[in-house]
Amino acid sequence: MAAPATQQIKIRCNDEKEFTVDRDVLERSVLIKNMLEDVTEQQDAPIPLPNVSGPVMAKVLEYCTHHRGEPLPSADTEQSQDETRKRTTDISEWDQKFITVDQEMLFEIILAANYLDIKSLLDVGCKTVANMIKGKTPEEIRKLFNIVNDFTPEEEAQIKKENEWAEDR
Amino acid sequence: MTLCNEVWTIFSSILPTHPALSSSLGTMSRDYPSDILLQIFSHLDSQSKQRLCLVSRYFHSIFAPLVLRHIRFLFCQERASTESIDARLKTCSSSLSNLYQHARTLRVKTNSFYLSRHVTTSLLPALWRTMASLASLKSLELEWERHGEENLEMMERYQSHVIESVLHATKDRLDRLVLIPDAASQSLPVGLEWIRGLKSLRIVHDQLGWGCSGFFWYDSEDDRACQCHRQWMKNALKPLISANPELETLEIVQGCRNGGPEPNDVLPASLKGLRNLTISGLELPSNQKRRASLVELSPLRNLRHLTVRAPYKWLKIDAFWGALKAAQPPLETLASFQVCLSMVNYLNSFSGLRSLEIQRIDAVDECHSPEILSLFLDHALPSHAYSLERLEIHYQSDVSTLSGWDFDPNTWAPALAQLSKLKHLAIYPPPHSAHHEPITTSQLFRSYQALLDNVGDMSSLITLKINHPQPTFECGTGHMHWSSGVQRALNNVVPKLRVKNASPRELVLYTGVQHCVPLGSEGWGYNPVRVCVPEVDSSDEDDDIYRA
Repeated sequence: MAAPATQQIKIRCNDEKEFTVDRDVLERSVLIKNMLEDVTEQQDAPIPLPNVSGPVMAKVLEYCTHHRGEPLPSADTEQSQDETRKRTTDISEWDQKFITVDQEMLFEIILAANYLDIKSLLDVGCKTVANMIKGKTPEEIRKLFNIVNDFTPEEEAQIKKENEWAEDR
Repeated sequence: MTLCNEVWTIFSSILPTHPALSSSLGTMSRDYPSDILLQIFSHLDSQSKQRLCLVSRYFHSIFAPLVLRHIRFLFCQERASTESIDARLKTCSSSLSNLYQHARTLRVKTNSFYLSRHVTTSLLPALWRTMASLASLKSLELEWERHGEENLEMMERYQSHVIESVLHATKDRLDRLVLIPDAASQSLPVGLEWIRGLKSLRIVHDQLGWGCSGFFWYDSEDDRACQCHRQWMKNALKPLISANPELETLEIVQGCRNGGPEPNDVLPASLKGLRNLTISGLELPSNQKRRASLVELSPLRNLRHLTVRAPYKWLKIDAFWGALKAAQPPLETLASFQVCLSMVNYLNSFSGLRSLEIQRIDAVDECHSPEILSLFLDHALPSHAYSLERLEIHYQSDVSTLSGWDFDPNTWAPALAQLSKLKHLAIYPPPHSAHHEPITTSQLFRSYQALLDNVGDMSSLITLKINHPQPTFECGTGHMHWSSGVQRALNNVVPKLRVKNASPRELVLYTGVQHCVPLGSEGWGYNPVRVCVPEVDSSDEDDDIYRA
């Protein structure tokens, strides 16, 4: 017997780019999942996603497709895993390859994952940035992310003094 | 526009938005949502966070609050060691020439400094300098113990020097102070008079000690010791509290069994800003003649959260509940060690409570009066029907019958049905559900399921905690095996239970049994079985591991 056809859902990004995606793939996003659950009747119009662009959504869908079928973290497992998640910056091999993108795309993926409420993708993005920062001096972090040092020399000296006790000696 | 489009438009209009994206963290540094930045950097160690404080002003504003704010100094005794104090101090100090080095190493693992073996008097200046340089420090915990030391006098002098150094170096900077003095301590720590501007104070002065054969009392029958204890609390604590009138949180735990301090020994006449008060073990006045400050509760008019415990004996404190009834602070949370008529009358006198925890139903007749239970269920609970979110009932483990306070759905369901906002409920099952005699797993399952089937409609419930009673335990009687049998049985039973009339996706069911270990060995544990209520195949096998 043929497997029942998966429901297809249309979405529209802020650049008018449209995607038609299997419902179970889209439901990796808690935001979209809740929207679909709240609307009981079949909707033909695409779901507008005004905060995500087409190229970023394409990457997000690539991630969701790869991870389709995996259990979504419940509120309780989230809570219990929180500490573990914070302690580790390990990323699986596939996720590492997936997230090897330029910085602009990386930060857009993080924002999209946050907006769409895809916890696991948000985690992958956050860990990647954290790995980039680890072990770097403030100056190296500024260079890496193109951040301007807006401290006055006096302010900088004061903060250095406050933190002095914890630095390596 | 079609109806479909309208629906999605409405959705998108209420969804959160974020600013247009820029090309890097730097150019976005002021627009990039701080909650995401915090998530990113939650994966970093504290040293990296401290470096981030130096990147830019925006980063400093986000990360400065995250750097080390709390330090705990613990004078701990290494019981296994047979070295003399002097020899141990000498050994440790020779390998720790630099306190910074020591602090750095410990900071990675914990915020605690274990001092009694690591800092000698010659290192006190370094300790002072270190503490004085910690501009970010807001919270300090001092715990000292001398019991069992070979040279008490020397230890006391040494501890006093360290405490004095630390308090002096941190004066006027702390928001929070925790003091846990040695149980037998009778001298005052020097330096408390420097502490100003505290928002939170916790003091634990307990005569209950922990030894190789379990808990024991220091000088339990010695009235003089209790008097000294009371004097210590009076002389050390009251001036400290009086000097910090902005206190918002105060917790006093004392453990003198006879003639301990009364509230007016430690509480000043007014604490207008106090919102959270925990008093445990104070000699609460039992009649109106002994009017202590806590009975005149009007100075505590802003109190929101109150916890009252009397861990060492049953106290009849009608005057206290009467004072609360008269003062009517806008309580949101109440955790009480007892239930009695005056307490239930107080509950019935106001509304708006969000959390109620009765921590112990004692084996005292008054607790088990049907009138009190009826007043509680028919009037007191309904007074808070539109606000109560948490209700927890616990009882003393040696109470064999709960006279209605155990959860019989026939008695409780009508009252609970009125609590429209109840999210968390902790109950004890009635004896016929929580068998004290060995039964099979399927019998246990059926009795719990019958209980849940009759809970009633509590659609807002998120957490239901069933406390499976702990069996009375005695070392060497075989109860240890019985207890682990219960645990194994519950492990099998709980995932199969179902709760109707509640939102199954959100409902979590806890069932726990306290898992004891023989006295004399280290520690004890609490092993809850915590599962989402599942969709189950009810074909359970009648395994007899419980009997085994």
